[in-house]
Amino acid sequence: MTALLTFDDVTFGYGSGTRPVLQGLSLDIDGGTATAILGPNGVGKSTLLHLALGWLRARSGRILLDGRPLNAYPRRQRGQSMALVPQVERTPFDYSILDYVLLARAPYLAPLAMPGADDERIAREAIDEVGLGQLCNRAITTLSGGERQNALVARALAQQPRLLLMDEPTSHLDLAHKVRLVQLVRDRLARGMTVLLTTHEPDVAAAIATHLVLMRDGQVCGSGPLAEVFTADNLSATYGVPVQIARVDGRQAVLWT
Amino acid sequence: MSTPPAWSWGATTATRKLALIAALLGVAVAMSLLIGRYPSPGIIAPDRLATDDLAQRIVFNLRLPRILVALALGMSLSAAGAVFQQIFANPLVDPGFLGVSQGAAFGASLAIICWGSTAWLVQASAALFAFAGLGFSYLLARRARFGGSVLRLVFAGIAVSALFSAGVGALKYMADPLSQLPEITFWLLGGLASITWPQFWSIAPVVFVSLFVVYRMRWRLNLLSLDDSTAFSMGAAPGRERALLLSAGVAATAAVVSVCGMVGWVGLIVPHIARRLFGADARYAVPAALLIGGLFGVLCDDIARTLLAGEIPIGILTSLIGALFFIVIFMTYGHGVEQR
Repeated sequence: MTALLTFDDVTFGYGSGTRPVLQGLSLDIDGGTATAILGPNGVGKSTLLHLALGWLRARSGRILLDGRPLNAYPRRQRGQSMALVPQVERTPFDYSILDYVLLARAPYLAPLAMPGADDERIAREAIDEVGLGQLCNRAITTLSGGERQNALVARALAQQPRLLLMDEPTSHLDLAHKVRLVQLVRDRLARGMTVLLTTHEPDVAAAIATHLVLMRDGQVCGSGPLAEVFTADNLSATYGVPVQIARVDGRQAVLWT
Repeated sequence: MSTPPAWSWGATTATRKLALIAALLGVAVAMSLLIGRYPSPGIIAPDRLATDDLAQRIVFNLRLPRILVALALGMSLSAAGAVFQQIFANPLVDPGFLGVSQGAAFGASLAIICWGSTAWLVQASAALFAFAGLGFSYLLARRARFGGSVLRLVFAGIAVSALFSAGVGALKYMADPLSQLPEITFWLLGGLASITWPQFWSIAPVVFVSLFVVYRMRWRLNLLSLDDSTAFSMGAAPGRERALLLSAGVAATAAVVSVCGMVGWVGLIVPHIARRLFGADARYAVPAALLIGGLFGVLCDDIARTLLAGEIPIGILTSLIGALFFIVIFMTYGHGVEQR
């Protein structure tokens, strides 16, 4: 079976002549998995996600979606296959949550078409799923950081992608919202979606992911099923500080200092 | 959260409101045809229009083209303003902002000084330099090594506007103070006094096509107000689609400015009013901006040509009324833009 997403010896740097951010990176993401890219800040996690999206172009190497080079996909087809939950999004205009989530239907619509009743139903379902159903008509500019991040997740879900890319999806979430997001991702996995997310929090990775990719200095320094890779030695090497892993009730937590 | 805020009308309510504004606009255009200073200040009675040959000629050969251009002026500036504000995700930009207004001013001043005040030359030169302003801004933005695509355009627009405005200053300094300088000054203040059918027909095709493009692509505007990578993730081509919509906005603006002169504030203020009334969703905000802009243009021109025996430059009126509106809107809560 071929992987859903493949990085084959990918090198990438911002601007020409600069030191590459990612160097000779190879990676396979299998369909139906939730893969967490874990590593310290500034290691190239978001860059990797934007390469997977096709927004950034690799200097060398190939990125394949379903065995086909990413840049061979027409825009709308790519938009139907992949959705992005950005880390932050600046929006000065107060779109209602519904208007905002409806934008995700764009890849399914002809360039001049407007969303119809079906699109609105899909958007409303996605909004309900992240728990913002009561706030459908609220302006996104009035939402809290956590609610706003949930609105971004709802928008990505309304895009009905096969591969969901999430950039630090828990960075603004309190505990209750984190639990909800973990459940939502598990639910989607059970329904066949593939998830690729970045996080700098090992606990989040341990809770959400089935597979783990450890990154350090633009390189993958460990990847595989969570149980094999999530070890004290690996994490200590990734973060450059000694950590321990505690097992409580079959759950794993990272202890530091 | 039980009380929905004011911007959450359903689609039908929004459509009904748009229809109401359209009806108001229709009434305003019809009334404007009858209002004026012939035969005496006030309104021509419709039955007089049927018999008086001169009244017919005034209404259909002088007032009608002028009113249609005022309509096109308001609509173009407002629609372009809505496009610019959404694409730059900045509620404080206006359509003249990418070097377009200052480019047009430079072109018109240059024509007045070099070739006298032949109307079509001034118009052509203003339009040419308006586009040149956009072109310079765009090229400069591509070469700038600074910020994202939007920030680079802002930077380039400011730089190009400043260059052209320096040029206008130099031309004014060189102009003959008795003949050319007043002409330049009046052009910079804006006015529709010299509009007749040929001027209307010279801008109508460009304005119509541009506004049609903006109207049809209005939902995409919402998408293009997001970050590049997000818009891209939803299958958009952010660079190309933004360029198309900006060009449409600039083309309409350049066309109307070339015949009307500099008319400020409409493109800044009307999109705000539209968003205030209809919410930020461009599906309703853009048609609202078109209609309200048209209404604003027609009414301002009515005041410009009827209030005093002489013509009041329309740019003065739009700035005055626009700025007053602006103050009122910002003193009242909820203007469709994030509160920081």
